[in-house]
Amino acid sequence: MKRACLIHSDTTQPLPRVASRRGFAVIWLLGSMPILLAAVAFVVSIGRLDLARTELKTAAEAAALGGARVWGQSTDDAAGQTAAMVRINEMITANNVLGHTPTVVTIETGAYVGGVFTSSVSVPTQTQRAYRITLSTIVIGKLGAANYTVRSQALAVYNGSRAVLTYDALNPSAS
Amino acid sequence: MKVAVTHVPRRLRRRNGAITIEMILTSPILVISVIGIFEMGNLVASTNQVALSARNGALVASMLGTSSDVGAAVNDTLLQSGITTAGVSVTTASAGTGVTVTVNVPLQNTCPDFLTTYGFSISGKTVIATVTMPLNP
Repeated sequence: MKRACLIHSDTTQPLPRVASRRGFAVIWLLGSMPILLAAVAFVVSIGRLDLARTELKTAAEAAALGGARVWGQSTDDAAGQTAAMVRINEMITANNVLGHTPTVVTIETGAYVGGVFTSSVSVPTQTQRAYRITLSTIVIGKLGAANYTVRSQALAVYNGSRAVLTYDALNPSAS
Repeated sequence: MKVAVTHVPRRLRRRNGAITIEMILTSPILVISVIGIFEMGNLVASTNQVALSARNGALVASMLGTSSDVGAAVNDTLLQSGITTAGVSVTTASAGTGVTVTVNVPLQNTCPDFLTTYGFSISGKTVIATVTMPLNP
């Protein structure tokens, strides 16, 4: 059976089949939703990772500064280290990372001489006493994103009057 | 010779108007989503910068302990990333062996309020960061 044609013509021609376009924009919108959700998940994940790294670094710095100051001011090496551990734990507890207490990876004592940190030196002089703290936390991925473990390290040394943040010349990116 | 069109089935008529109406109805959802992602990106970036400003303020507070120096350190850090300092509140509190600095920044200082016409305003909301450092005078 032939259908009427809308174009002017000398003869009646069959009409081409026209696909229904009802709901065209809605289908595109629904189709783009997964992409938009993925974009939201990406933005949120990157932001949370960045924030976790900043907060973790801050917590490690506070702990290292506290430990180096207490140990450096103490004339008794062993008692100084015991008191320093108390201060370190206070600082780690006080500085939450994304609302949670960070996990302690390592707490190293050592001597900081000539820009280089040497771990586990027995009884360094007071102005060489340094703490190197490494913390980590797990950042839970949101909206289907993967979980990531973030680590951060800080190094502080007592300079005779106060503790100062510094870095290890042999491994500057870590501290 | 022209052929008279006597009958055109309803489903074969032009529907450009219907598509336009669909686009008008659905495009606000798309626009709100895209602007929302942009604002969320701004928010997480500024949250990080506020946390950094609290860290810098707390470092100054641990050594100097004066509130004016702490405020200056916080404001300098915020301004570096383009966050205005109007309405920013900085609180310094010493307790025991540590000093805690809390920075409270209105969200409007950190990013433009694009979605206010759609009913999602950031007005009145704040970003808060708290950092504790050991007293280290």
